[in-house]
Amino acid sequence: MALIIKEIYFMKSQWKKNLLTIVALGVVVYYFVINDYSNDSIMFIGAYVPGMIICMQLIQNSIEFEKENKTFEKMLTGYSLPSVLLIKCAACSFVGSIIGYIFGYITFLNKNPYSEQIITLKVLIGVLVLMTVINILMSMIMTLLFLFIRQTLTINLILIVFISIIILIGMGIGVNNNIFSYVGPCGAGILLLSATVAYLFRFISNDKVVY
Amino acid sequence: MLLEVQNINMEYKGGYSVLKDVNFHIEAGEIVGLIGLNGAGKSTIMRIISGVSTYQEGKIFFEGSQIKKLSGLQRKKIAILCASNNLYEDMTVADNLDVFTRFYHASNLDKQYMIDKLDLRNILKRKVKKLSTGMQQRVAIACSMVGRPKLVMMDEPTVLLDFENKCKIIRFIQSQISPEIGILITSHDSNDMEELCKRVYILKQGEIVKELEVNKNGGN
Repeated sequence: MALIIKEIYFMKSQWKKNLLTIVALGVVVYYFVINDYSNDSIMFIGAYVPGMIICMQLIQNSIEFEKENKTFEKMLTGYSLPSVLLIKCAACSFVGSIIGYIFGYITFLNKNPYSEQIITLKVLIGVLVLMTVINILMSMIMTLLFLFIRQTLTINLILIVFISIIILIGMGIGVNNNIFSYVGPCGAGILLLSATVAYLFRFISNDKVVY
Repeated sequence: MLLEVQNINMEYKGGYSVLKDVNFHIEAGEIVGLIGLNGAGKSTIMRIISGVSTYQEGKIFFEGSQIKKLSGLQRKKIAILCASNNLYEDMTVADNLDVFTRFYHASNLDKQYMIDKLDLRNILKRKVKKLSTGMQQRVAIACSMVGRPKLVMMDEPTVLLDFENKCKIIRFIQSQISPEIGILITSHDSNDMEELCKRVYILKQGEIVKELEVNKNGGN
């Protein structure tokens, strides 16, 4: 519980930075809404992309700060490194997903005022579940990246490439009933990958975050 | 005996030896000093005791139990104040205190005690990064000791402080000593050690080369 509270307080302390990112994302998403992209692309770019980007930013801020200020050292006196990292990932992906849901809802409604006729409850739940598990996996991968790569420039370059790929995918593919009939297998696969990455956390030495 | 460190040896990868056969102990109710130059291994010893770093050989006992076998909750009876203050600088003092109160499972009463004792009431709503070094150090001490630990380890607690803050912190440390609590302090300032400690260990290149009883009436 202490670790969750710590993450919440930390996010609160970074609210200006996070708000700025949300506004910038709003502008990008608005561009796609007014430029007549398909419902599928709008759904992907309007919901998944903002959620993922916020999640990545939260993880990056949190890990970089704790490494620089050596607060990891303090936390490790009471908790193991995997539990500190997993709680961090869970908190960031949860907040990222909430923001993604809100973004998705607003953009989709904006595009389709009668969206309940287009999007069924099954699809909606599928979108939400998939978004959450994707964010969990991504936050774990990002955690490894931020722990093992020390150069900020390299990290930022990787992030830019990664985000560009996600947006390009979003412009090409989208959401429809057929795709979301695979939510179960997709979600299970992603969860399995997440469990593998979580297992890898056990092999990270404390020295990686302390020195 | 509160803490007993027996024959600790530690090497970094590549065979570089950091600690060589380190032995010392701390009784409850005493303040013990660890003095040595930068790089002598003072902080490493603290990290090992707090369970953050691992060592290759030797044993450490805390209240009779091996430190490696302590649960997370038991380990929280050992508090560490690192040389870098380990605070969340973008958060307010109040939020930092909240985080560490929960971390150490402390009560609001303990938190209030620390706020009063370290004179933090007027700065609770200020962000840590906007405080002076002395104030930050007081907040860091409050955060470390809010859980009423049995063993407190302080890495250079008075370094870089002005005279007023140094006095406040020294007075606070002296006021905290009780029959249940032991305090380990590292420093390279022998004057601080003389004022605070009952015994001092001198650490040189990872080895304890001398143990001194401090005579408060001058000299040792």
